[in-house]
Amino acid sequence: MDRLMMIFARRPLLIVFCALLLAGCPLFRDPASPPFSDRIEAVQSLSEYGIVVREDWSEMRVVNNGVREFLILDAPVEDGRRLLVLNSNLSLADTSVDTGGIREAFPVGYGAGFVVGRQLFDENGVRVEGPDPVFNGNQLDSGEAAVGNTNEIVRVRVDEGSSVLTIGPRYTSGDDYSDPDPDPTVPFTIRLVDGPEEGDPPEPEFGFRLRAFSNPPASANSEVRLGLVLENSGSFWAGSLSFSDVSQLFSTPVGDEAALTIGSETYSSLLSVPTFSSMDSPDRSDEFTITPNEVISLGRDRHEIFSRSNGELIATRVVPRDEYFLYAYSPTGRHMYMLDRVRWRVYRVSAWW
Amino acid sequence: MIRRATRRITQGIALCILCSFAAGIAAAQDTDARLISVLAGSPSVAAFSDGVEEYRAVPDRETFETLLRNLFDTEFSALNVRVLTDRRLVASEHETVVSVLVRYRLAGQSLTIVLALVDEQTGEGLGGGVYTGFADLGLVRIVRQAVSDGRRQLEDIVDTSPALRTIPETLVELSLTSPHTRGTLRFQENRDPVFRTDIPFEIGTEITLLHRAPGFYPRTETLRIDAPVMRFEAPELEPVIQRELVYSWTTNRPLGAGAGLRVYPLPRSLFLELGAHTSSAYRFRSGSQFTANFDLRLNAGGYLYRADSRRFALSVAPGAGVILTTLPTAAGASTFADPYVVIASIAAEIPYPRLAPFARLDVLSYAGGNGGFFTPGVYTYLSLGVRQAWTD
Repeated sequence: MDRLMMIFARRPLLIVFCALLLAGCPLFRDPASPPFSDRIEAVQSLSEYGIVVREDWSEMRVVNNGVREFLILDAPVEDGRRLLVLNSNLSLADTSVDTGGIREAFPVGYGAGFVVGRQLFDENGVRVEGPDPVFNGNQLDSGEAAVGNTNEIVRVRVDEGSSVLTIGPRYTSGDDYSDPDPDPTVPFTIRLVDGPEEGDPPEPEFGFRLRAFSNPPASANSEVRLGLVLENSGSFWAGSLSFSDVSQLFSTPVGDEAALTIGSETYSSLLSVPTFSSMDSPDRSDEFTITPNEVISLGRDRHEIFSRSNGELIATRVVPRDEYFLYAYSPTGRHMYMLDRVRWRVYRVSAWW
Repeated sequence: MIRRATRRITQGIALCILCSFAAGIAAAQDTDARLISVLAGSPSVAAFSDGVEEYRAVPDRETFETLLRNLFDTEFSALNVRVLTDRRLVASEHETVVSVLVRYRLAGQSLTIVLALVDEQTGEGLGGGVYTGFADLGLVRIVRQAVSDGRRQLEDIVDTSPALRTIPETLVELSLTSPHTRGTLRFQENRDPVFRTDIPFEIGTEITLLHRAPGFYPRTETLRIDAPVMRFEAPELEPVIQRELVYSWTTNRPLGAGAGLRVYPLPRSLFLELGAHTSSAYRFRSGSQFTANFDLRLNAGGYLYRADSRRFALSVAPGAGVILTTLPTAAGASTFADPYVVIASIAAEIPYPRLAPFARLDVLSYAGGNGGFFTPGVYTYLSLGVRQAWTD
């Protein structure tokens, strides 16, 4: 060891060389090689499933129900748009046509199926035939998210210029999703700045904007820990809302208006007042993935990993956003999926940080 | 040669005088008088006699001629001139040659000595005299008078040629050595017709040598004559390389190395290069896997600029190749093939004869076929390496 140290001590250029090598200097990277090429765990070409994809807009989402993980791919095919559901090993679980987009994709319970747009899929990722689920093909507004199950859906939003996170209204089967207030008893609000306690974000001048909202990473003990990414005038905040019982939010009808008031006794499933951490200057991304411990920012030219607990930047990697690759991180934080849009090939990549 | 020397003098180039004291001592009726060549030089004096003989045999002829020659040798030894033993030793064309001719008649006790000083270039008589007496006790006196007169007249000639005292030194011996077994070193006479091997080279001049050896590029060497005796060991010639082994390392693929073979259909000019490169995208971090890349490429190119004397060359070589990529996925190894075009492969190199370090910039275009792995587009790669001559 001493000998090795002596070698480095006498050769500063060697140190610089090794440092550049380890730091991933572009000079030491194959510029044509796809990103994360040394971490590819699985690869699958869509053409092997007889799917001919046109070169057009596409989108990916990852849904994890606590037991299994599914990659949802909305891809343009010859006869229109098609929704492809791939298992985590990239085998094809199901295909569907025109589900109305995949922006609203969420699991409906621990180990259960998931909803994509207006389509319900079972726990194996197979489409469930029957009446449309509650999410009746309607789209969420910008800055909105949704969580729910097969029978109910709850909107989550921060109104423009507001500092108040609104959870609700809740829609059940048969409700008109375009009705802004189908069940006036459901919405409850959480004031995002409840300070002046430490860790609270400052009172924003123009309110917050909800930039990301994690699908509830359901757990066996029913605790729900919702992740939030908020933005205020270029500052980003990562926070959490913890609920003791997922049914309190989504499954059990909340009929008592008083129960939806913060601080009320009936709202006891909210474990704590939400706390927020300022994130270290993310790349102003409009795409975040919230994992149990991190917030992943997919910026214009890099991917960044922030700690959810304190907002610190954990890792960064230069990944230019281009026309060739599309990325989607698993909510578990253990994988990432990468779509080669030239060859319509999907890769599963291990966590790189 | 003498006429050339005369021309040199009149052209005002360095002037010097060489006195070649040739004493012909012979019987008067002997038209084939033999010469005594005496070297008279500045500052040294040397003498040489290739024989003194009398046209008519006399018992003490040999003694007499020895005496006569020694006396002249002694006298001219004191002169500040260079004395040649042989006309072939005339140092340069810048010298004036004076022949000193001595004839004698020894008839009984009567001795006659005829002395003549002649400019060899012009044939003009520069001095001389006739000395007579008895060849008994007066012999020495007669000879000394002739010698003394000859010396005095020669001194007058020297005085009229000031450059005589700065007679240039010339090359006497030059050894040329080639490190190659069948190497030859020749004077490149056609480059400067003034220099001829049968003319001694003055100190300070430069000559051009042509160094040749089978299997090597010929090279001219410029040699400055700076000593009468010189040895010149020609440097090794650059071999004519037909094949080279190529070793390279690409910075963009740090965990890898390349090897190849370069063949020159036209040495130093055009080449074909077949190269292979293996690498892995592995990074020394947890979770990283050993991928495998195998790159096979054929380039055809030539030198845009090559200056071996300056140890710099620039070449360009377009080509084509294919890179195979193997990924160790959970379902087994997946292999992809990416054909590509080498738009340009520009290399700057230091062309030592047998080892040529180089830095190369490759501009590659990947087409992006369905069986490929690499992202379509045009990319640049930097490689460092060395080429090694492959000789039988």
